[in-house]
Amino acid sequence: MDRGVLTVVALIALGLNGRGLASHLHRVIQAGRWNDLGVVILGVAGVGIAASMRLGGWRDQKRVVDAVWGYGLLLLACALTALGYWMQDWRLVWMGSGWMLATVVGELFGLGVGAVVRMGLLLGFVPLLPWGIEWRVHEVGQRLASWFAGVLLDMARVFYYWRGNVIGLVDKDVLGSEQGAGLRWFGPVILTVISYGFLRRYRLVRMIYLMVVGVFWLVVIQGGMIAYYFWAQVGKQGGGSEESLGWFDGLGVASVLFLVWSSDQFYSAFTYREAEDVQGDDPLNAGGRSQRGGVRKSGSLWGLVIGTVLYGLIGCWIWVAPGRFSTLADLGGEAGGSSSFESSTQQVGEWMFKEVEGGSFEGFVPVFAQVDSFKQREWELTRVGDIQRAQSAGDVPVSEDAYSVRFRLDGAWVDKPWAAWLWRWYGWRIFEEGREGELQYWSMSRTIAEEGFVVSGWSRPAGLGASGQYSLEVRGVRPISKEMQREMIALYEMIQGSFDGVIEKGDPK
Amino acid sequence: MIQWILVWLRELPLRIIEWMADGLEWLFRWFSGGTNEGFWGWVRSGFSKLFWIAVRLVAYPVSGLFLRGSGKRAYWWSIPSVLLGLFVIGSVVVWGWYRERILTRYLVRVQSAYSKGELREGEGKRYAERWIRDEGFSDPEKELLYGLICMQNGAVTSGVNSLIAMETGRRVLEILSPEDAKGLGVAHYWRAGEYLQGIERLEGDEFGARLEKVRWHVDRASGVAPGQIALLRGRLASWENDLQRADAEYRKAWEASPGVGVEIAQMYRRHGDASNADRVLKESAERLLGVLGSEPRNRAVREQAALAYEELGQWRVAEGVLVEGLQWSRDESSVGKSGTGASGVSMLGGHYDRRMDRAVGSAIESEVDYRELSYSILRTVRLRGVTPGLIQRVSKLGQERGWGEVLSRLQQESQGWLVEGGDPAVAHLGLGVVNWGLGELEKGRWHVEQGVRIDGRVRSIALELIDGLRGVIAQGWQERLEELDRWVSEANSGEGLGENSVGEKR
Repeated sequence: MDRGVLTVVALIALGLNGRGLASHLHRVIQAGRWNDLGVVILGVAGVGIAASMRLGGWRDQKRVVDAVWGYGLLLLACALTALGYWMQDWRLVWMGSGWMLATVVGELFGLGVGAVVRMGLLLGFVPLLPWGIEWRVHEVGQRLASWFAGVLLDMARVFYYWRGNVIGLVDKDVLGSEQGAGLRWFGPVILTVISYGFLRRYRLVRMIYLMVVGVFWLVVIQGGMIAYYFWAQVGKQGGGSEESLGWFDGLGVASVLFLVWSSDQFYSAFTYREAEDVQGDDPLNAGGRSQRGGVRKSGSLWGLVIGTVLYGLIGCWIWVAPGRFSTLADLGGEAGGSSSFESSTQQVGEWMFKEVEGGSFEGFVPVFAQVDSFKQREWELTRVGDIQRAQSAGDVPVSEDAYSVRFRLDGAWVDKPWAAWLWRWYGWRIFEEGREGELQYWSMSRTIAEEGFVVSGWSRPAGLGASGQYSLEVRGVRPISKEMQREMIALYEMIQGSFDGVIEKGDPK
Repeated sequence: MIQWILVWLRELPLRIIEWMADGLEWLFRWFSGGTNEGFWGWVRSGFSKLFWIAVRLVAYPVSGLFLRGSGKRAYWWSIPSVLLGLFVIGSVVVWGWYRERILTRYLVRVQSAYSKGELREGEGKRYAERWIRDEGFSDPEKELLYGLICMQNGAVTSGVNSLIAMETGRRVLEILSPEDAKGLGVAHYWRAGEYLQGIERLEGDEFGARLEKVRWHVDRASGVAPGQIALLRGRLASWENDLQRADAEYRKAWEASPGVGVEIAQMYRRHGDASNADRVLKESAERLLGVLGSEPRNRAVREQAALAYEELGQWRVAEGVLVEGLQWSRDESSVGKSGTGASGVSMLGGHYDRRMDRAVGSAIESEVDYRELSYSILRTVRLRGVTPGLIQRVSKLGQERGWGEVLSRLQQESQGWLVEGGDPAVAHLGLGVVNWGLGELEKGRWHVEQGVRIDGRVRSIALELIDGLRGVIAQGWQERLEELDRWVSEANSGEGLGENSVGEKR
């Protein structure tokens, strides 16, 4: 009776969530988030396998999900879903729905708690890659990778300097913006490792161990790749235009996966007991006798293994293939139509605009970009008075106090990251954050004499398809005065509307 | 008793080893024995597990060889990750161990870049960026070096980058010489010098406040040669009108560096003592020439000597000192070009600028020395081309004295230089431009043609002049400027005629 009621309630709740699920799935597809789609596929496959395993004995007879567990899980799932609706965050809706489905399947097929938890995690994993904080994950990982790359470069006696998460070569104008754009193989590697762990039905401790060594090898190999890239640049002519190391990406992912597997072998050898050879719990070992008894339906499991590997390969290909990066770079450079900008907005108030050719030195297309057509553009702002003064003196225009003022566009973002993410990425220390209506602003400092102030806001120009981040940045060697801060806030408000129109006009895509 | 103590002390090392062995034995017994109940039991079992895990980890490379079946297979496959992991951990440990030495490598590069001059733009600054925020390595002295390298970087670059680099350097030195704490002596020395610059333009309370700041920083200045501190104190005393103290301090500075003589002379002149000023200048010039005898390539001393002669009014001697410097300088091949980057040429250019300023400055109250002015223009044009400063100076003179007087006197003097044979190509060009300005177009054209014929490089100088005039000339003259442009473009440069060939004279 309980089981029936529980199943019906869960199914009704699931049905009510259709809109939220569809909305999130639509965004996932629109943004080309192949990793997230992969998780969905894995989750559904997990449910299918769990169901097919029922008769195969893959259930814990002693710990079948009882009514208390079921209602508890369902309550948790409903709470998550409600929270998602309330916050208009479809990822939470998706997560709650995943848990509901896992509960339904668990109840219907009489599965154990362990199986239900695995399914719930698989189905609800999408929110575990939350776009909003993904930059933080990549920031920490990238910092560690760059740091390790620095260790290797020091050993190779290559002179470099750190600028936050990014390494630059001392003797040439190179900042590793592509090699330092985030942990490039993070998604595929972590998903493959998790899938591998679930397949092997590892316990929590071993799963955590695998995740930790996965991240460790990811950072080490990524750091090695950065170091190799810079080492290869030394002594070469030119400004060091970055290029994707295509074959190296494939080799990198394969190396990380192999090292994770090798580390897993270490765990096996380290915890090895001779009795395991007789009583192993390897679900893939069809010939072996499980401690829990029963014959494995190894065919389905092998199917999932092959599927996972295929998914990993396809994900790696899409995610790290050189073509993808060059496409992103092209879109970042061209989209928006600078000619239409120049023809319409050359001046706002007493400030003249000039687009920075080739984009900013401190800019990159992040690995965690949420939309394929990610843009990063930058304009230099100069006061008309400064230009006239400079022309009369036959010099280049600069403000009297050696401040540089820039306006930039970054995005689009489906989930807005912390506004100061880019500056933090390049090693700025953020302080005195504040808000004024929709605007955010903050002061920042870097080396001993680098000070800055940024006003940032979000807009939704039609050309981007999602929110774009506008930022007005002033940099100097002295702390930015309160008067100048107020002036920048006022200036930002003046130019935002003008830019919305320009992007819309120049980039109808 | 003493013997017993000595025996005990002799055996002490052995006893310590014995105590340690006993302690370890007790620890092992404690880990392995007893029950696991209670808090201490839980601690005991936890430590015991950790201990045995550590032992197994250490023994893993060997103990793994004795595993069997799937354990042995897993052992072999784990070797790549274990070896690479050890390499990573080892690299990081070694790197941490040699961190100081690695950062010193960067520091040496910065010091080298500062002392020898930077080879590439901003390179020294980037070397410093590796350690500038490292609290364990960076200290005020190293930060000072960073500030200095930034300023040096600003001096060798141009445009926005130059300004930003200079400002960065200043900012660092400001940070190092705070006005509410002790700071770094050498930075206080710099700050006092900064505050003294332009103090003559201040008045009243502002002057008093600035003087107070100078005093504050001079009191805390250190870390430089005593003569340099004495110079600062002398300047301060001079602005405080304490002539006796100023004289004493300046004398100390003068002993250390004869180049200070110019400043001391200026002080004497400011207080109406011309004879003492001339005495100091003469002695300074002689001492500086003495230094140049042994160090002919020392540009700083050469410029100081030339300045001393300029202050004495001996312009020709000053010029001679600088021209001699060009013969010693590696930049001498660039003489005759408008290469402002060559410091020797720049030094000489500065000399002519000062001479022009002197001529233009005297226009308001007394007679202008047009001969000196025309000579300076001639040499500046040959050395550095037509600079905005040159056009600005001549324009100022034209506004002060009237263009009719200025042009006719320059025409007269330029003809004199043509007769005397001093750079006839540029003299012809000058005459061409003056005649053009006076409306004697036929003559003007002929002189321009002669100038270009004698030396083809005059064409580019003339084009520079036309470009410079475009921005400042009145609207009505634009058409005539186009005519000048046409003369220059149509003039044929002669072949086989050198720069110093004497041209045909009409």
